[in-house]
Amino acid sequence: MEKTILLLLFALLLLVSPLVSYWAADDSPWYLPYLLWGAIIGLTAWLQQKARGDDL
Amino acid sequence: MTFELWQLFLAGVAYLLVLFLVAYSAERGWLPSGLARHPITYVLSLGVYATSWTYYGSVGFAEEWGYNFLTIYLGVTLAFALTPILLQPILRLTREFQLASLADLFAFRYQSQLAGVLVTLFMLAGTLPYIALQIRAVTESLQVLTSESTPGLIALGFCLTIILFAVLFGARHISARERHEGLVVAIAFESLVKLAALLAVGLFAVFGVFDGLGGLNSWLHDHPEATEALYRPVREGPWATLLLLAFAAAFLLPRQFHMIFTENLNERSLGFASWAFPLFLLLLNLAIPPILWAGSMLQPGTSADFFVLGITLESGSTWLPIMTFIGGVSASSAMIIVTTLALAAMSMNHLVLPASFPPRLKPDVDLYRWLLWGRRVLIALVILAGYGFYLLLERNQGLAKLGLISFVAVAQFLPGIIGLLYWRRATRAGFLVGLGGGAAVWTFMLLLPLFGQGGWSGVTGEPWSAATFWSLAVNFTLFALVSMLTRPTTSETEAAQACCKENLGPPPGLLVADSLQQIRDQLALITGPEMAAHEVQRALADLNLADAPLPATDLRQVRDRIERNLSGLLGPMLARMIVDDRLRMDPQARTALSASVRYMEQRLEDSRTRLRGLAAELDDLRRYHRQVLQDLPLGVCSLGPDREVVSWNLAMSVISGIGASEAAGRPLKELPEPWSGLLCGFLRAHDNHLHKVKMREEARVRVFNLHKAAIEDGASGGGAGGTVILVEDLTDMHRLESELAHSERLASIGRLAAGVAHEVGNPVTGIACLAQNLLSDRDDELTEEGLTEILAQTRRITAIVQSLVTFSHSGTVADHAPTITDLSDSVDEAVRLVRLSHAGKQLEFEDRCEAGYRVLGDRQRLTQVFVNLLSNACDASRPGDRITIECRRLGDYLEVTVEDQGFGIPEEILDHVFEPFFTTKEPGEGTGLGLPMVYNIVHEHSGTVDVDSQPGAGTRVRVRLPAADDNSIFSAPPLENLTV
Repeated sequence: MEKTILLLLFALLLLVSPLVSYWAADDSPWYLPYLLWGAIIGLTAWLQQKARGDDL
Repeated sequence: MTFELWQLFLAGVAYLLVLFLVAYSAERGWLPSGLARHPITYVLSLGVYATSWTYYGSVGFAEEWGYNFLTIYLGVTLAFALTPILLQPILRLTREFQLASLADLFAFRYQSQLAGVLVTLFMLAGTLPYIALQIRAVTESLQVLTSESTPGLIALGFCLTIILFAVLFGARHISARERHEGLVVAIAFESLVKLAALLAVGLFAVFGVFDGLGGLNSWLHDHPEATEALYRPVREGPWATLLLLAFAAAFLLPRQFHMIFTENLNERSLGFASWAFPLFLLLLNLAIPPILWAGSMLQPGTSADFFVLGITLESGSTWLPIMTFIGGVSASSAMIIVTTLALAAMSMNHLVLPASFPPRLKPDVDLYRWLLWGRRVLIALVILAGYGFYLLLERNQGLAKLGLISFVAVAQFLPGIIGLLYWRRATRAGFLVGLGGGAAVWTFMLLLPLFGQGGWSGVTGEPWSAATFWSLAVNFTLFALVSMLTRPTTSETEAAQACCKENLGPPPGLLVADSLQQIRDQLALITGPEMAAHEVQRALADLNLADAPLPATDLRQVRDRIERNLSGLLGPMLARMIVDDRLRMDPQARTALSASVRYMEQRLEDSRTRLRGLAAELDDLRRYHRQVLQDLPLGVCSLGPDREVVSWNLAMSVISGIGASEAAGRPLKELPEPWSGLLCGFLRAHDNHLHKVKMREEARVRVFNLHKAAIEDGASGGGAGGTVILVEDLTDMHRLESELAHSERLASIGRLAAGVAHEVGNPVTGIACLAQNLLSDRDDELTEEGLTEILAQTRRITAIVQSLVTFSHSGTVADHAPTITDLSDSVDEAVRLVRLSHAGKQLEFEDRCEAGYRVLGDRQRLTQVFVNLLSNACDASRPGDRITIECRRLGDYLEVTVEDQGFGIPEEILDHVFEPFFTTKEPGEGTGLGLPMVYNIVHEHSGTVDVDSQPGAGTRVRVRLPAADDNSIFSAPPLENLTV
């Protein structure tokens, strides 16, 4: 549960904090939002696998 | 390039036929059985989230709002990242309580039919524009490809086909809770089609329009405004608002709720979907920017909403536009089908049934059939209502705009979800008032403007942020304020506890009906006998119970299960109304402790993986203690205050041959004999400890030590009351002891052998002399005297032999049954035996033990005590010494003293004389088991033995045994099948 909350906070930091204006700068590569999105998905998958391992 | 309408129509019909075939194959089992349950199928079925808005509208949305279009999917990613604390708890609730829709969920949590009605109406109002959007997307895509206006019949035909599919594959079963494997596989197939089509268009944009990634990069380099147009709105637009809306929509939209929770075939799939579904969405959206830029470059003559289709017309290929069109049809049809199923189930449970049930439904109505056809009619009505909405819509509304109206609508359920999962204090009134307030703001600011009315002139630019903020602000504020000002009812509190998983104990009260037949009869008064029998049978099957007489706690479980199953059929409120009305509870009746313990243990097992922190550690501790109890090598059986078995450990199962599952929950007196008699008798006995209790079981006799202790009552010690019984199986040890005693007796006989030979020899010599005399003197008088003497000598031999035989006899456990025994008999016999020995002959025995000192015991074993004591006295005495045996009464006890004038025992070894194998005799002369055996036998007879010795002056051994009267045999522990 703690890890899920940390993941949420990390995602919120990326997506709804002043950090948005840094990665959403005009000269950022067009695929940058997809990379950030992919990073959040990767972290979620990692946590999911870990939680499953813990359950077993 | 343009297409003829009939070509596209045929393509559309062909695709829908394939879809029918896929669904039918899955239903018939022609596809691999694991396919529908596979996590990837589940993830693809969740792809119903991506409708024609995503498929066509994302490009238009991206053109107007740049990368803000990604929020619609990033919000979903956030919601799915919270699967363990958001989606999993809802999934468990919907499974446990058979809740088929969001309206069911809220009606259950807030115990309000009105909540269900309001949620259903609001969902209908919020979703019909969305259905209309799908129909419009299909007709407009036809316009794009044919360059002519689409006949109105095409839209109607599309709707009718979708109705047919939804009825055939979405309403096959009676209950909305039943999973539709065909539907799931078909929706997954549709997701695959739209993903493939959109990626194909994206690849065409990159490689067909820009000649590869290099070309795309150089175009972007030449047109930096294209990237800027995507990023600028992120910094200036409603980014956060859209994220919030998509977060809510991810699981609250009717189609999402239906696919995530209602059609979930495998709970673990949700964990996989937590990252795989966002990945699917990422792949789906990867193509959007290249398509937008390709459209900007090619200018296909369509609005940006249909660039996806427009640019394919420039490809020169015929299959790519058709494939893209099919992808659009699949996106629209999947959304309409699943949304309609969800709305139909909600409308049935919360609009139709409450209005007609009861009294209009009678027991003679086939309720199952009525429900099935009711849902089918509702499916048709919902799709046709969406079609009506489509006809009313203004043509200038963008696809994204219509979708977002629905998103803001479903976001109004967020406060209710917080109350559902986390805030037990939230009340029905708070939910209803909050939802009403939010819905009013939504209607005024978003819905009415669709028809050219209402709206708020204070809002400039995009309306989403303002509408979302004000509707949610009003909703949350009213929800919190009214909840704090009102009190939850008892049923609300119970439901809140069930939702928050805070109460582990079983609900209070027991069912008034005391048999399954009574339950059937009562239910039949509302549902008819056939349905009542079916529901009871289903509940029994779900609970793994047999159709046999059940205890009250199991009947209570059957009632709860029936309520849940009916909830899947009729909605939670009607289900509760029926069971409350027909299957009444006695709230005063107390649930048996064993049932409570089993219920709590089951709940803890179910929620094991979800326990965290202190709760998890406490659970680990509980498991440790339970395991210790289970693995204890003593039989442990704990009983509740009503003497029903609460726990029955592994050793107890081995000792008794009665399994834990068979014993747990049963009254002690209903256990199989002889255990029922043994344990019930022990419970009635005054003593908390009984030693060497013998129980006859079939052909053998078993020996146990029994101990019991009261479990502290809750009022004083925090426990639950009752008794714990420990059973120690001594059968094997007792057999060994008997064998040892027999060996010791044989050893004693060995030691007596010389004396016996001498004793037997004397009378034999006498008999021989007498016989000689009789042969020589034939005087009658002498003959008679001689024969009399011979008989006397013979009796003497017989007595000696009899004593030896009696003493050496090993006996069985049953032979050692206690009887009233006179101590003087045992003492006399022991003296007789010991006198046979060589040492015994040289000593003087003074037997002052008179008849009448009686004890309850085993005569043979008591004789063994005195033989051993006298033998030791003989060994320690010098020739001519006297050994005195005295008996006297000391209150309730009899004391036998054996005193010699021998060497005595040195003080330093006095404490060791009762230890096994401790001996001061030469090897071969003593086993060291004599006195330990004395101690054991006396102890078994509830007596004591002590030794008092003065070296050089002699030794005195005192044996104290409880005195017995004639009634003693009847006042022995009142155990059935039991001997001590």
